[in-house]
Amino acid sequence: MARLRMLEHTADVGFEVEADSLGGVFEAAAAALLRVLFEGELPRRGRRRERLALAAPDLETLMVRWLDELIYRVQTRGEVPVRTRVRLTAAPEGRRLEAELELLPFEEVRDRFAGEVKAATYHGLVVEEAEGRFRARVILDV
Amino acid sequence: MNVSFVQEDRYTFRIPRKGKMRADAVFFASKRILAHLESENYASLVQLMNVATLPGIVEPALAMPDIHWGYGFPIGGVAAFDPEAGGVVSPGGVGFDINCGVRLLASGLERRDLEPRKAWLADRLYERVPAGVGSKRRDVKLNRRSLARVLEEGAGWVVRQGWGEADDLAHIESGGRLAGADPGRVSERAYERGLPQLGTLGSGNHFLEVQYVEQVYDPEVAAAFGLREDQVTVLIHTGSRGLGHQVCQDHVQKFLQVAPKYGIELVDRQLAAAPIESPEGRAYLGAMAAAANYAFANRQLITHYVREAFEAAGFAPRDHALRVVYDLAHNNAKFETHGGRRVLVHRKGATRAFGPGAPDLPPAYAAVGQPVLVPGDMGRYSYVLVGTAGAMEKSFGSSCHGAGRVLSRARSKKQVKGRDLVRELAEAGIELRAVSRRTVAEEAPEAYKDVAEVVQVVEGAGLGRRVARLRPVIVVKG
Repeated sequence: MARLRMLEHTADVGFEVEADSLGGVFEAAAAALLRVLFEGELPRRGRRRERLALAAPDLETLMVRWLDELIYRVQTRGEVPVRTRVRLTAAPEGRRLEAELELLPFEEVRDRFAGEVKAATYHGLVVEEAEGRFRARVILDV
Repeated sequence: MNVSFVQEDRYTFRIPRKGKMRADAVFFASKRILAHLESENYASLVQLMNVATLPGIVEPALAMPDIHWGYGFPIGGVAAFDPEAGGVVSPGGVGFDINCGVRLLASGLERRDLEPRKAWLADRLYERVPAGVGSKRRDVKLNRRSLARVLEEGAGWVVRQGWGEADDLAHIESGGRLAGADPGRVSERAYERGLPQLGTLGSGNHFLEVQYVEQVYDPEVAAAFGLREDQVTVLIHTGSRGLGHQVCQDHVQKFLQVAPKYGIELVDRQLAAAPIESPEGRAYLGAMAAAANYAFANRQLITHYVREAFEAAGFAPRDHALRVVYDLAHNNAKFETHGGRRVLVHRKGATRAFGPGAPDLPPAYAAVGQPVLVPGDMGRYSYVLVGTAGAMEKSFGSSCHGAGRVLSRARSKKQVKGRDLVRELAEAGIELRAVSRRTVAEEAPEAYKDVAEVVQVVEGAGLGRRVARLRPVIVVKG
């Protein structure tokens, strides 16, 4: 079960997510990003699926790459990842993320678009395990 | 981190060097601004102190009175680095929105000319100036090759396509083109993100406003800027869009990898930096200048759309006579000479405010100093200031860039819940057109400091002087 809390930040937008697996934290972070990008509920099913693989030296960098990748999909390719399934593994370069995205055309949810996000930042960024739960805190530049 | 500072004069405060800081930090504030800083637990001052830990910083690290909590650098931060002393360049000191800035247009119209056609003009502007995602003009199409030309040539490329006038270029910071742009350092993904977005406004705090000159404080300088009371003006606030965001992302990641190689210890990873005189530093500066040129071109193309919109609203070109007063950046890093030293000045949410006789000013402004454009919130007013000799001495020729937020976006939304902001603004004589209702709630006037307070500190600290105040009549938001 994942939990999501939006954080107070004067200029930008932050969120904290918690889940019982590392993959779950990355999925919850994707859901939090959609809450920033859109108003109200989005459909839970996409029109097409796509696989995505990313690697990074550490979990924080992987989180930034993951969110930036999703921002690019929404704002440049016009596809909204309404559902994600994420698996993390060890890799020679550090950590590897494999995801399956369910994508919905932006035009179908355009009326709920709330504004652009520029990028995920490293400021105050945390991805960690504590007492068997996994947690991330992210500040987005909007 | 514990923050302690001493007051040097009415508006100037100094944080003496301590811990890993390599220089003192100085910020400018009034009592009320100081109270805002305290209410966010001095988070933005801690960020300023973090900036002061970077190698090669030239004393002091500075923050303008619109300082607020950002990521990496505080917003309102100014820091100069000496390339000869191992000084660094930090993409986090420029921001994701490279060369984000403001352009002021002055018209030949008076407020009374606008009034009968105000709503009509608001609709034409909203139609013709695309906001961003999923909205593009079909008549302006770029391909990869023409985009590379934009990255090299900036606003000049747009003017040469017939979308502007040669005189526009003479009134843009750096002539609308940063030297040293290297389109080859811009990633393919940045190109992909930039292709559909040239001539788009974006969302968040970006806007397009039609205003009138409500008050002139300095008639002589106002005349030099071509401003007079009741005159209709247009203010455009936008930047380098997804292309600039991608350039920043790409280089922050590279810099994080190489920082240890150069012995750079980072107290905040968003401050990722590399020596100016390193292959990585030079690569970023080439890509950053290319993204800056995209931003200049973006504001130039939007200017063309604004002229079209005025014409569609029934104002002939000879009547609206829209011309560029000035276009300046508030997110960039530039080589400048201060105190006889060539330094790289980072301004993140801070404006260049060069005084009379300074280099790189349009000839028309050389004798008085450059216009400094300071937007306020959408319900109140914006200011035109002029750069001063004081700014050259105290702040590496820098001043504030806006009002600065006081409420988070979430708090702002809560505060305006149940209110009809569009109607409230209409009752105050302001036509608002916006893509997103949430953006309107997040950008409500009370989310910002009163810009008059910020400007008072700027003037009191000698970083700029008031020339005119502009009152909005049409606001277009992404």
